[in-house]
Amino acid sequence: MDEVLEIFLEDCNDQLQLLEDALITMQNIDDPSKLSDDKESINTIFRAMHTIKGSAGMFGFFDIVTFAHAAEDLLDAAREDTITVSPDMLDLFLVSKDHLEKLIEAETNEQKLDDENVNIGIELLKKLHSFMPGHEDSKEEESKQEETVEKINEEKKKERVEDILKWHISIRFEKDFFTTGMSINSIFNFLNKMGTITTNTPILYNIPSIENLNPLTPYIGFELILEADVSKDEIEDVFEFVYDDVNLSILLFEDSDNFEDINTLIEIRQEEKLKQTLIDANFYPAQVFISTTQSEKNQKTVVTIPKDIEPEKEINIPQEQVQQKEPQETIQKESVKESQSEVPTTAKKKPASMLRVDSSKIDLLINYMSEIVIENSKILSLVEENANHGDTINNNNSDLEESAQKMRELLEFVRDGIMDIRMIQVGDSFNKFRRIVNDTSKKIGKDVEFVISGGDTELDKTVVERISDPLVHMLRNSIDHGVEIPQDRIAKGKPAKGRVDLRAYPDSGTIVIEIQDDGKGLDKERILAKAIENGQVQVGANLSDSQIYKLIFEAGLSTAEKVSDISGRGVGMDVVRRNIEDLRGTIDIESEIDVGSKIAIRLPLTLAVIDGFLVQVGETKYIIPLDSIQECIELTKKEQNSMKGNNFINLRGDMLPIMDVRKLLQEQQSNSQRENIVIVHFGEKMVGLLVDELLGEHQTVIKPLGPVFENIDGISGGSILGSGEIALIFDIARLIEKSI
Amino acid sequence: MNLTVEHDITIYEAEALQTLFSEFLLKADDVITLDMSNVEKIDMVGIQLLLSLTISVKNSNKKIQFINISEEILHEIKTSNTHISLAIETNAND
Repeated sequence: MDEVLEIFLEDCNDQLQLLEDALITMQNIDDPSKLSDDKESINTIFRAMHTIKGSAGMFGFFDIVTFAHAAEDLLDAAREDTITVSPDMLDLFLVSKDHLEKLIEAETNEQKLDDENVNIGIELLKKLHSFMPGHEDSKEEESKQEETVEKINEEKKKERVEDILKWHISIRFEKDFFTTGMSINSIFNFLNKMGTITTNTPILYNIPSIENLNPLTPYIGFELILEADVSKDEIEDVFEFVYDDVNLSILLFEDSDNFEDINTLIEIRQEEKLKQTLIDANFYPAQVFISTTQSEKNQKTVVTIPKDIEPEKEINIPQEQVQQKEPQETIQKESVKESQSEVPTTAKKKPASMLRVDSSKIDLLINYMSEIVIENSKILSLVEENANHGDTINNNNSDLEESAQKMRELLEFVRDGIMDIRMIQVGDSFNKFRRIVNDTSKKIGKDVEFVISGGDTELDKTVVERISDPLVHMLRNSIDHGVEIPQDRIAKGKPAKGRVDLRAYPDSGTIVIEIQDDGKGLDKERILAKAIENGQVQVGANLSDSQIYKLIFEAGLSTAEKVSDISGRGVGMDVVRRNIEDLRGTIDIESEIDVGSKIAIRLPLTLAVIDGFLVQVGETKYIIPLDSIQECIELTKKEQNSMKGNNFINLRGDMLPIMDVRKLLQEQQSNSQRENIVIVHFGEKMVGLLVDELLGEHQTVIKPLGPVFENIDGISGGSILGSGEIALIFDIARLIEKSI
Repeated sequence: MNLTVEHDITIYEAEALQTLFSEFLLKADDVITLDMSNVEKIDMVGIQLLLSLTISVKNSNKKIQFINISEEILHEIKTSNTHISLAIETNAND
């Protein structure tokens, strides 16, 4: 797909999302009689549809144009209050949005829609037309409904013959027009769909010879006569997306005894040959054009423009021309756009502060950053080495050390800056779930209020993208298994409308995403019984509530009484857990019968980089994520003795479990005289990691270890130190789970 | 004298083609034939380029003809109504 099409697709997706969000907002209005009052949402939907139609027209995607136009007509009627918006209409618009999405996908992939979807489109068009005011369900209408999309438009064209207007469209291009990528032929095709271009006169006299030509400068122009039942605004809309790069003039031919001075256009164009070109191409008879010398010489009569024409100026015409005047086509000037001074009101510009960046470019920068960080670490190591060897030959060593440290600080700023580019607000992703919640609830006859909070919480783009599917799955489960049907809820003394909350917030260097419902809660006994039946848990196993609830993530475990196409097969939650674990996240569940359930997912802020603390265990160096460290203490001989072989210590009156990393990872006994405990936490859980030496802070770019090492529990990746050694990075969440 | 255009005639090739055409015109004899058989895409930049070449040919008292134009290219040229200025017959595809 070429770059321009990609931009078109991105813009359409943005507009479709706005459209859907507005429709869902309207669907959440309890009183259907108030739907037509939500003008803000109606206008949002209209503008989105209008924008899609316009940009599709630029590319010549006329199926999209036709479909969007029908929807736009209905929305316009809603804006004008000539029709009342109903819940059925909103449902129709949602389905129409889906169909539009398919049309856009087909066009951008240069594919044809299959017959089934073509028929869906025809049916949707009929339904859209059926909501229009004055629509009669007569036999004549039924026979029209049998026709194709093309024929429907042809019929409408025929009906409007007597309303056909004749427009003179004068087009010149600003110097950057060619670089916009917009096709002028697409504009011609679009105009031909609106009406008929009866005359197209290319203006060639400005084109220089080949040796003097700047190929990227548009010298060519066009003078068109368009016959169509359209307004000037509708013609201007065709040029909406190139408005800044086109010098456009639109004049209306009208049978009238009064006429405006076409010389105004000639003056603006400052093209000597334009007048003759227009005469030769039969745009206007010669008498219409008056030279300034002639008007100066002749006796003048001032003609006052009638009140129904916008009075722009008085026209001086020679006395004899008034007397000899014959009925002729006159020109009523609608508008002349002066490119230098006018600010187009319909121009569509991206806000100057925003910039679309291909995320792969950011990934490349991060990779380079990681290499720079490693090289800088080497520099620091060498500096330290020189200092240790008492190298006094070069007194610049301290300067070198200072520079290296400065470089490290700067790299941190740059690194943080690049990482920040990748951070996006989760709210944009969360809002897309509204439609899913809406559709799922309706499908199974449940009434659900969906509340999103913390949408401005930021998370790495990759994490947001990869958490989306698991969240959708869990939301569907909440609605299907959690929230009861209205009758059951009323019987339990709950409001008929259930509630599902999706919230996000930062916590200790992680992001927490919670899905909470006020449904029937998880039945511990049934889950345990099913897990025992499946052989996933032994009979008599002593599991905490949290461990029992987490069994729902085991493959094949579903306590659903019946399987729906939404959930219940026992396949899916295991994939959800795996996806979250792949993101170095964890899941916790709380639940209470008839009160509801809460699933909390903890995720790292980013997958690429962490600030870590370097420790030595045996022969190997390890990195502990800095955010997870609470404190470091020395394990003195006295404390070792007080442990009496147990795996916990008394930390200021509380029991702290201790994990001997050497034993866990089968490290050799070190020669270190000291042992240290690094107390780490993940959420509310804490554990002390028994290590040998503490080596200090270390900013780390996480490198994946590869498939050979992916099953090592408790290790999430590796990092290359300045010395060239590999340090393994602890997965604190996994380690804490193992210690419990 | 024949010149076969080896690539498309769009904004991407325009500058190179302008140089090519300028140089070719200097050494071309009275009748220039531009073979468009390898041209699959053309845009308004390309059409303007051909128009400029046509203007220069006429100013040099020479003649130019375009041959082996595909239907797609012909359609683009006709849509902009520039086929007349390029002296391209609407049924020409020799």
